[in-house]
Amino acid sequence: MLLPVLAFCGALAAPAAGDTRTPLDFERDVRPILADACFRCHGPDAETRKANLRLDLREDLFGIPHQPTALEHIVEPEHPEASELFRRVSSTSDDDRMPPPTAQRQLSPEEIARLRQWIEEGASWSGHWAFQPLAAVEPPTPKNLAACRNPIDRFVQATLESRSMRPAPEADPRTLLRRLSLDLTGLPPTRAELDAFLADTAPDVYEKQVDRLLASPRYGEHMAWSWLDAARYADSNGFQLDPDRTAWPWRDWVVEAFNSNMGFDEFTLEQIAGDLLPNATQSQILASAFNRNHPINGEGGRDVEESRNDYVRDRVDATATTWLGLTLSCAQCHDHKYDPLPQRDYYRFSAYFDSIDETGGGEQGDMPPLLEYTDSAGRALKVMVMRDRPEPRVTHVHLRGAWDALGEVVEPGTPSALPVLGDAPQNRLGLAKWIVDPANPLSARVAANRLWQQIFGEGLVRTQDNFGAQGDRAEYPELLDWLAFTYRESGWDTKALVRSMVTSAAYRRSSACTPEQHAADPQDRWLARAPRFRLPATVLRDQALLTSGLLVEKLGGPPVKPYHPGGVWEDVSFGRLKYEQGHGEDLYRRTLYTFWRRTAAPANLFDVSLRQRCSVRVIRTDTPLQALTLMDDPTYAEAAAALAERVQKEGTGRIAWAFEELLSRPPSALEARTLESRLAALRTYYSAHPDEASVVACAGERADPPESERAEIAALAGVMTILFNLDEALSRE
Amino acid sequence: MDFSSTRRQFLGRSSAGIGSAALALLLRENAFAQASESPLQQFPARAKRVILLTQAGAPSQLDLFDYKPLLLARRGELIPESVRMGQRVTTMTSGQPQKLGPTPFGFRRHGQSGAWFSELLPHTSRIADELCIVQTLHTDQINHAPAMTFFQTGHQNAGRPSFGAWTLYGLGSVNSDLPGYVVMVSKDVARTCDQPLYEHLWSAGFLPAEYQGVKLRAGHDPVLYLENPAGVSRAVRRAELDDLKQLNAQHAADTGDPEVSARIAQFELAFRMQSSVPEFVDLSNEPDESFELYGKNSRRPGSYAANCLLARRLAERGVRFIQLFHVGWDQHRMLPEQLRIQCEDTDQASAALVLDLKRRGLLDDTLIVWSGEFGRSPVIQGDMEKPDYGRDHHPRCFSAWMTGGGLKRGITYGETDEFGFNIAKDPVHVHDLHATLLRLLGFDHTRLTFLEQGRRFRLTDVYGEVVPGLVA
Repeated sequence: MLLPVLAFCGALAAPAAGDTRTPLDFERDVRPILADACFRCHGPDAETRKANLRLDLREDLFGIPHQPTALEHIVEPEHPEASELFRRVSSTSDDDRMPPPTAQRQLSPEEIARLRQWIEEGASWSGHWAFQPLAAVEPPTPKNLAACRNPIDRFVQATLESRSMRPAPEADPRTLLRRLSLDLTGLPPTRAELDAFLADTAPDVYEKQVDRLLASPRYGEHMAWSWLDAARYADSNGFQLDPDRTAWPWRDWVVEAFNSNMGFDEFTLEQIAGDLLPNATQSQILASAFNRNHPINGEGGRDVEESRNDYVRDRVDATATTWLGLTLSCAQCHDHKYDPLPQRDYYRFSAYFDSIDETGGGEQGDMPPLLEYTDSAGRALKVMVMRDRPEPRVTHVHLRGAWDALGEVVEPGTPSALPVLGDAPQNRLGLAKWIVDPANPLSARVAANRLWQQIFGEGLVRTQDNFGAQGDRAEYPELLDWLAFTYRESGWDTKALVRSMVTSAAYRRSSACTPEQHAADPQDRWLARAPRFRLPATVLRDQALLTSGLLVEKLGGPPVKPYHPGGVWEDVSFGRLKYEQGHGEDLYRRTLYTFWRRTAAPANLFDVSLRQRCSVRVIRTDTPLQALTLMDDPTYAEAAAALAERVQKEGTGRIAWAFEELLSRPPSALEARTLESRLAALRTYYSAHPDEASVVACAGERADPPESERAEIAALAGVMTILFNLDEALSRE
Repeated sequence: MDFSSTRRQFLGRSSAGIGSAALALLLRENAFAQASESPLQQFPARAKRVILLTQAGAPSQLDLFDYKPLLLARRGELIPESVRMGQRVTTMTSGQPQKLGPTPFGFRRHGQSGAWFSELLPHTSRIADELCIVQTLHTDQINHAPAMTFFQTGHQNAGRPSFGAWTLYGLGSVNSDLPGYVVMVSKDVARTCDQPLYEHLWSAGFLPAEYQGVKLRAGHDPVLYLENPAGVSRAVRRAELDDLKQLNAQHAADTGDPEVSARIAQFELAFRMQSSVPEFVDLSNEPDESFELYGKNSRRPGSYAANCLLARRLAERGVRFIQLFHVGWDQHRMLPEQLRIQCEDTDQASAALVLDLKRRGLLDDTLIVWSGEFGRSPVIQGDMEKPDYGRDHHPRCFSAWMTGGGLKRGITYGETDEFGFNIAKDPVHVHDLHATLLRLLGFDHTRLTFLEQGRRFRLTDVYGEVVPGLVA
């Protein structure tokens, strides 16, 4: 089965003789135009469909009558002039032209030309790629096979060759180890790790590092973060009273699942329906807390049934987005405008989550159903988990999406446009089994793309939250299918898939480029170079803690409350909630363990999901508030002073030592000169300002350094602040 | 032509892409600083900045603006089912008899326009002829969190961009030393209520984060992390930034990544904010006359009156979108006493802001909107024979006032029925209000869009009509 590849080749086969244009790919070049400009009125939504014409269906496009009113040939392959579609989009008459002049979305001349070219080339057509069965893909054979380290590279290399793009050389080993450590564990390498790597002459020296990092418990802590975003994990309910909840045991479950390399199928079954598994263990029931992580509204005067409906919808959204990459929530009020998802399908899907044994009311933090148990540390815990009522609720279509306007009764069911899993029970367990079944075309692609996004900074499909007709189309669709198929066939072996990504030549390239190369591919979609991007705020904080020697590594447990600006919780709750900052170890744990109040996310984290709803996209922006945080947050002030203290103990070559500690490379002559002269100036300044020096050197709650050393430590801390904020330190290169 | 595509092309395919942020910065600093027109506008703008005076908790329009003598005549009677028409009430009053209750406050007409005001608003009533009063706002939501989210973003669930973020996205920022969207929150003196104000109310949603509202806090650190860490002087910080700039510029050349330069610019803007923000929140140079105009509370940092005075200073500095939230309007109980306190806290300063902008020539290109998230019911909650009664939520009609660029002045728009329960004439949905305000800012509300999850989202969802009767 090679459906997606065949469709691609079909487009290649068709160009007219003597045509020098690059042949079009229907999926990449044509369907997006039709979807964006036409489907609103000529697509899946029956309610708003005009002229009974569906341009998302092959039958309608090619004039095969399926309805009594089917029009003349909309598309006549190779003959644009005889094609009604082309006649209408190119018409100069306002009465005739499509889209009509009143439509918001108009076609550009370039798009009209592209439609013409597509018809001239024979109008190849295929169903939406992401809904096609996932099958084995044979990697192509590029000319320079020697440049390929593994099958991933064969896809990339072959394409780069066809586009006459030169891949960047391999990154410097120091850069490479820093990159690998940050990507797999969220922390930079220590000096000892770096030295060992550089001294090792074995041919598989790099692979050994990969295996070491994959085996580190830091790996699970790092990989868990984006899963927590998808799961809208928080330590409080949100809304008016925002009471605390006990959700962290589930967070620890996720970390452990990544670290033990649980298969993604099991990972899925347990989180969607762990409570329904035969003889479910405590751990499996705990896993089902995934769908209890939604906000809970205890606002007075609210109808409890309205709240309960909100929770059901939240679960539909989180499940469909996380596992299927579907914007199913768009079909809540009407049929989906772009994808074959009728409103009825939305409510059939919601029926899986409609029978939880819950009331929708209440103001305390942990609302039933609860898992009550004593953990290995002897703590008595109550965690919100899934449990169905003995008698299922009757699920209705909600007219216009209104929670209290009930339409027809529906049974649980998966989206009708996707293959059905025959013998699965019609409950959440059946849904989970359907998701990981080989017949499901979406799950493996979505999961593989999420891992690619975690390792390469962006997915091959940029819209991790939308694999539908309006979503992004990967530049490497065959590579995505290869990854997805390989992942599934490996028994959903996550570490193996990550390993294949980070051991590819594509991953190991330098991220540097010339302005011309950048201009040719600003978003690095062709992977001729490694991506370069600003590190997440969580990683920046952890990096500062590690390099300053402050980090306290302790796996799991209840959330902690490190430094936080006064008044934030008080402001949002009008004084009802007080932030009681922790001390000692609590200040220096990894950011994963920071308490997450849903109404006021930790103030020193930027570009993070607010955990109000499922979020699977990477957010990356630059604002002045981020610069203020990185330079002024006491976390960083203390880390600068603590690192300065370490430097102070090092003796000669101290700045170069610190530079390498943070950036895994020694400074250039210019860098060393600049920083040394700044140190000299600051030393003079702080010698003359001992009070300021003392405050800077004693930043934070760690033990104060001796008075005699404070001027020197303060001066060094100023230089460390510069180091922490070098763009290279803020970036994954 | 789809104007939103222009900006989208600049921003690239991923709204949050790293290259896009750099280009957005270029756009902001070059295009907008030099030309006041935005490529996203469809119409000449009648106003170029907005001040929202958001009265959180839902002020009782029946006790402030919408005078209903019939409620006195039928005091204590059950509301006729023909009027109520099955309207949902909250579970706080669904179990009690639905009895009508009049306002305890005196009403009279003011100004040339003869607009009605209750005695609780002596200052606002004095500027009656400057105001465009809407009696017929209505919303879909009956509880605070979803209704406030709806008023702010056009949708009841958190996650969409706020009105302010949309405005900033559309118009860009003109002040290079201050954020383009500033939020200030004040508490009611009487501490009557604890409706929280969630950060998502001023978030950028899926728009780039540079369009989010920046909340100014009362006190010494008005923006989070604005102050250098203890012991770090401004001179030391400048020296650190100089080195950073030099080393990062070198690195930008080595990496070929234009994003490095974008981040250098953000560190520099942060440094400028460290002086520009304290400068503008410092009221010590304001003449006494200002404090007399805005009222004695304006000397108290964090008060609504002080925030109104700051709003004027922000408007003078070209900040695009300024939003005040004042809480404490949720009078389920103690309405006669609490509403008086709320008005004492806000009436003078709100009117002062209008007068102050007018005399400085800023009112004609500023839009000011005073509103809650919904209204209150003519039905009394509790025992109206005792002073602790109140009114429940009412989404079907509520009042707001507006003034400024492009709006009619000295008019009262729309009518409710004689019970003050339903709209009798000229309804204005929250979506319509948004559409109208966007129009005055130069936008067709259906075309100020952003592509997210395959759909072109807009502030007005798929609804909203401009209300011509409000536009001058």
